[in-house]
Amino acid sequence: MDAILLQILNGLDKGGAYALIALGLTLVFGTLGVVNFAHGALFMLGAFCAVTFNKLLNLESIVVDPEQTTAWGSPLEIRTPYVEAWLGDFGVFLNDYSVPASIMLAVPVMLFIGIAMERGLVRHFYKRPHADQILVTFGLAIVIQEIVKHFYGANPIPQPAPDAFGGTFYVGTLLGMGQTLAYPWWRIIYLLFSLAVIGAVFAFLQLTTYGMVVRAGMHDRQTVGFLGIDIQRRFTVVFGLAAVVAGVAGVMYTPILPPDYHMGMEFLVLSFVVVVVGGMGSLGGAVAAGFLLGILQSFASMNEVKSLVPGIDHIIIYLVAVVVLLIRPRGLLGKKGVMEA
Amino acid sequence: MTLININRRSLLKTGAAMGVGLAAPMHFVRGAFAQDMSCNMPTGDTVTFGWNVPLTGAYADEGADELKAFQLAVKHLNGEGDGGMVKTMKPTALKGSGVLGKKVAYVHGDSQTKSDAARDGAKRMIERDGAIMISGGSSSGVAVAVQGLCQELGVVFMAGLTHSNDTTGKDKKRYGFRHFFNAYQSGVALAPVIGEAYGKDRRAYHLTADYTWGWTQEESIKAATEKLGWETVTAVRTPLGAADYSQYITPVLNSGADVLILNHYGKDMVNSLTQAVQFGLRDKEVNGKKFEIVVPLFSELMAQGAGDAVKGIYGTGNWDWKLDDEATKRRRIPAMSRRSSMPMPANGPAPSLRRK
Repeated sequence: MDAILLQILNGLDKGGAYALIALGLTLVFGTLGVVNFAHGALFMLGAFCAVTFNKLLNLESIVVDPEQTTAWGSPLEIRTPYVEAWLGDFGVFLNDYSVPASIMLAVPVMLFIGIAMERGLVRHFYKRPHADQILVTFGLAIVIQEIVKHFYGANPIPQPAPDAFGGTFYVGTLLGMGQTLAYPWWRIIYLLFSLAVIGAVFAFLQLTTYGMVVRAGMHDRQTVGFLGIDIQRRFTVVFGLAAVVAGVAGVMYTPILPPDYHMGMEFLVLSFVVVVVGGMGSLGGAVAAGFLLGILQSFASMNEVKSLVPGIDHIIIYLVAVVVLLIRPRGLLGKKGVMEA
Repeated sequence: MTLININRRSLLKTGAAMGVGLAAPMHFVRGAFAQDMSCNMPTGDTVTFGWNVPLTGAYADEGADELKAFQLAVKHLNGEGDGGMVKTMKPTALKGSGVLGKKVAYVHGDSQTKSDAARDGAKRMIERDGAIMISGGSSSGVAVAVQGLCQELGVVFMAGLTHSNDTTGKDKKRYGFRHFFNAYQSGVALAPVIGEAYGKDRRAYHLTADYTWGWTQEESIKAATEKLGWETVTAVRTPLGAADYSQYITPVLNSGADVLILNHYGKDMVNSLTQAVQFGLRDKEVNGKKFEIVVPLFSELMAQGAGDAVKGIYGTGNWDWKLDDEATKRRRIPAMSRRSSMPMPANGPAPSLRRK
């Protein structure tokens, strides 16, 4: 029983990450009709916002104390991060919470990158075939990766979670099962965070006038344009929003997965499968499929399942995709007319 | 009934003809063999080595370090600087004047940690640049592929970073050599140390990267620890390059195992170890003993990637420039004065046991 509950938690957690990336992908596809293969690179750029923020916070002054020596006999260097020297306790706190705090940096940076990407490159490919869009965005992803590698190297850079959330939490206590189901604090935070972001995106689209216009534009772009609304500009903002969602997902994932320049690609392929299974252009479908595939992947990795069907954990996601597409060719919640001539 | 009439003359004739007939192929084979053994025989006053290292891809940092170490070795072979380890080797035919009086030159290529790219690069260095020896690499798969090519072309291959038992010996390649130790040696070196530290009565759970290297390491470590008296609870294969290991780590919690052995390398190891520590494995007590994690093979770069998670973890690594012996000091001091950083231990010539 414990094992099954733990695998459900794992699946939800994994699904949270898939859903956040797939949500941005499908948002861009639904509004602009672009298949954005650079979306994984945006997730990675978000993670590197956290790395950069942490590096900035750890810029330190070095004072050599001639009176004290190290074990090797050289004068002792006393290193103090500038933030801690200037801000005192708050600086120490900020350093500890550098990962969540770097969201402050990631939101404007990712919004800018998203908008610049849409205006500078992607908009030239709206009327081109999907294959062209895939090629150009995939190429862009490689360029972004290589730039990041040039500055940060190819080795993963560990990012610690805040001390308070570094340990494990007994989920069993919430379910009246006592000290069971030990689960890392940060993964629980990540799950809650992904639910909050998904909720916020849906609230933005469903409850605000801006979101309503965007939804109308997704449905019938031409008519919205006839009403005198500059729908193109709103879609550009949506592209920026998708970049922000991918970016903050990347920021919060850094304590779980030490970021390196290639991390986006690992998630991109899975996220595309999530979008296809959920139904192209369907936001709800992307979220549902994200959680579904996350949980199925976790169960397929259990020893009991693997002993029955060896290697099932390698292929489960693709197997489910094949079955879903055979039964429902438009995906779980896909609508008629999307990507169909 | 036929009578065969043999006289002395015809016997001699036949014998001579048979002798020539038998010897003729040897004549051709001997020539071919000589040519085979001396592919790219250097005729000028230099001899060219080919360094085939990953400069792009996931092991680019390891590759850059490997290249640094090779460049340093060439300098020492040619007698530049203070000669480094050449001066501490006994006995040696190396005099700091290159190899057999010929100055060492080198070319390098990007192996990308991909078998086909690595083979193409090695082929170019052998055929175009006239390399008499190829070295480098960062995976057992690449090493096996390049070794096959070098065997075909009759060029010496010194495998770089490869830890699989199967790289050398198994396929009987006469031109293939290795300086990096193998999984069997890791098992033999590690078992007595972890046996002393963690006791003889332990239950181990293996997570293994699902490819040749992972399998041979699992086999070697299992054999070495079971000899100690440890019991293997189970060995689970994980897909290569999995980013999230949570679904493989949670079953460890209730398996009754008190040691987790991670047969992962590179980013896989960084991710699985980081996540195993986050799941609180190292704070647990099972069977009345503190739960321990062992990573049989890791490098300095991987330790950097894993950060605090690797502190206190036992494993084996290659020669470490921080060792305190005469040869190591020889190699360390000139290099440190010239460069801001030393090549990482994965690129040196002898195994060492390590605990971070």
